[in-house]
Amino acid sequence: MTGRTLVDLVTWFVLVYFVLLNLGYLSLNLLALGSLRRDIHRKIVDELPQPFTGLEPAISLLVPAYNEEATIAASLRSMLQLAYPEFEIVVINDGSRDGTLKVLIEQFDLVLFPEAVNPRLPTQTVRGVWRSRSHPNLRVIDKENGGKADSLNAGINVARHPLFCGVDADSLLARDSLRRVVRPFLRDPRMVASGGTVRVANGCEVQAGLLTRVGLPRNPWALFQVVEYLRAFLFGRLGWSEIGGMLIISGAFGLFRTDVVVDAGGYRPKTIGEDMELVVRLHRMLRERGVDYRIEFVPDPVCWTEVPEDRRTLANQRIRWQRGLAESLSGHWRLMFSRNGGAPGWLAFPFMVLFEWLGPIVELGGYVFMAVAFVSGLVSWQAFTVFLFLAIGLGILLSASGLLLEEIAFHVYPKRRHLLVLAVVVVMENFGYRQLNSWWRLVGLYRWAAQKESKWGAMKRRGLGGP
Amino acid sequence: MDFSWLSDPYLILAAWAGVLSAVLVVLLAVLILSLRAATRRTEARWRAFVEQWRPLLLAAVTAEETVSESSFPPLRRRDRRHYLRLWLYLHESLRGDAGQRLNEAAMAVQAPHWATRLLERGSDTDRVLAALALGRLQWLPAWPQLLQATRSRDALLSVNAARALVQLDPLEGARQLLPLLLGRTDWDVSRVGDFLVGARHAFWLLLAKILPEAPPAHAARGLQLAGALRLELPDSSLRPMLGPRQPAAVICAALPLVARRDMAAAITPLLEHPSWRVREAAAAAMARIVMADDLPLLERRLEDDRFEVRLAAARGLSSLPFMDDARLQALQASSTAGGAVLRQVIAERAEP
Repeated sequence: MTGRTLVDLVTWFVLVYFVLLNLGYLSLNLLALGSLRRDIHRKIVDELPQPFTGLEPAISLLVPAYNEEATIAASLRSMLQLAYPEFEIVVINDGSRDGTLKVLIEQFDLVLFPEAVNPRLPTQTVRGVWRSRSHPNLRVIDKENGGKADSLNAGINVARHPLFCGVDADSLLARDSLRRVVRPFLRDPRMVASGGTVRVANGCEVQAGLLTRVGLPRNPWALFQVVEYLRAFLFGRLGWSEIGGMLIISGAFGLFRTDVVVDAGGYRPKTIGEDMELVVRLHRMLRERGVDYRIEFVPDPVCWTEVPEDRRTLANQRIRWQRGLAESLSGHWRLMFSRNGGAPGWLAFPFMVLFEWLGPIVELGGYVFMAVAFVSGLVSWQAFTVFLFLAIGLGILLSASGLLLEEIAFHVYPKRRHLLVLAVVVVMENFGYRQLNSWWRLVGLYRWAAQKESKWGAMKRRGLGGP
Repeated sequence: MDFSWLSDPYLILAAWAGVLSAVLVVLLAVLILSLRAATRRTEARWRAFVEQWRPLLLAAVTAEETVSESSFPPLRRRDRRHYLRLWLYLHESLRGDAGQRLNEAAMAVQAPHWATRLLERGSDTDRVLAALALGRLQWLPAWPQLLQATRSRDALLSVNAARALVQLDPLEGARQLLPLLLGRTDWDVSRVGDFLVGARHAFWLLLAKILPEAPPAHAARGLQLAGALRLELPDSSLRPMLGPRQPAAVICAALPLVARRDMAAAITPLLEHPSWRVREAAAAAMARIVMADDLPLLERRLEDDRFEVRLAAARGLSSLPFMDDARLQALQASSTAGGAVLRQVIAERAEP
């Protein structure tokens, strides 16, 4: 094979890869569009006052906390105000080295309680279970450090209700978030899990742990993530959910049937992407057993989270996410193209492997190869220009379609200025940010391959508002 | 490197794909802008409508005399959806005579007639609003259209049409809809429970009749609804649901409905059922009807393999009026597997 043929082959491989990747995303987009359009009339009924009837399943909110002394009290106060007939909050203090437990004891009048713990999932040693005297539905588990997955398993062991909802300690939940995310369980008895949409809270007004006004952040890193979250949740997950192939439910807010998760062995300790790993494992287990089940996505904005505002923290987060993705996929190869694999095994899993797992290698490799080939005269300027034009054009198209879905269904950012800023971000993120993101993901892949030890993801926070 | 656009069709294809994506981006931008403009117009129209009609409808609610057509300005065709939206919001929020007053106001603007037409030929949103309104209006002539709508694949429309039929005639609605109420698992069970409150007697009558012959999935859903409606089913209907051949899901749905002592004989074997969920529900049910002589049955469950069953038994024992702390502590001391759960329930009893 001559050098010229090799260059031609690689050129076309990269181009075809980009086109296929974007066609895949566009298909998801169309699926999401169909779903949102179909459900648009639901909003009218949602506006009407609706009483609870006692048929809503009770929910255990599991809140793992590690060194959260600054924010935990405010977060819990907002969670205690959720509008839902029966729920409990279980905070899991994962051996915090700061004053998290002390803050909880003081703020919520906790007392040690001789709780019998159901040892259905193995966890690190539980040092004690505390109950709040001021809030009967609040308990705190104090345990040895074992990571987020281990904390969630400890929470499941004391959870009393048929559904549990894993919530990040720094998440802001809409008051009706539980009512919305439980809906799929009310209208389909086969439901085993549902995930809610997470939006960026930076730039929003927060008072007493409740979001009072939606806004856009001024920080450019956070702004880029606003568009990214729109893309990821509104058409990524909703599109996959439409065909029963959703492989990710965000750890920031996801509702699961407790018995099914226990049956699957709970969260896998020492993993980084414990949220995705669990969902992939659930698909694999239930499909292997031939169980008729559903995992659904709720597109309504129900959970708001503070995203990183500096490059270093963002890089760390993305590296962790990519490692989590690699762990989740590599642990469940058998789901791919399995006999009962259905949409998760035949569509979602291969898509994830090809475009999310290997994506950074091909994307960055493609950019580097084209640049090198162009500089060395192996690729014509026309081919180089076309490559850039197509890659950037499709990137903008995808982000713009996320914006369209948001405009059709939710209209969360009401001001003209919001729309203008988002439009600029949609274009600008393709000139540097996406490439940087691919680089971080590549580093994540490397670290996954090097099998470096996983820890709690520390995030630098500015805070989202006063108590 | 030699290059010619014409000699490289793949490159031309890629270039056209790029051009296409650029054109689509522009189209999306136009679409987003026009959507934003349309949303603003709709919101402005809605605000103006509410500003005009909310006081009128509230005045109608509090009026001494019956309202008539002359009490309201003409309702434009394009405002009908807004009218239903506002009217329903008020209807669902207000209680007592206000509902009747609102119905008179809706009659004055001929709402039943055009709502029936909307139900037949409107958009998805219009149809749901119309179904809700016709139920609230108790407009019997719309029965056939509503019945037709209950068969729609759109779960939101069909469940709300079912609600309307039950509001129109609880007995006939429940009778005609029973197969759908039990069989359509895509109907939000909480919403079904909500509107069946208005037809609980009719539902009780029909459920008691069909339960023994119902397929397991229907029986489980019927029992679940009966539980939410706090219906007390006759023993003749309930007892077959507790039979050993019933699936665990049916038995688990039936056990919370057991409230009479004479069902004890049916529950006792379930305390040894292979499914721990059944044993757990049986322990809780037994605790509601237990007599002192049956205590050993519950106490034995304290040694069950499953934590959930042990906890249910301990909670059941702790809830008994004739069970004091001393006796629970004695049980705790003698129990091997049940010690931890007994310690917990003793502490729970001590809580204020």
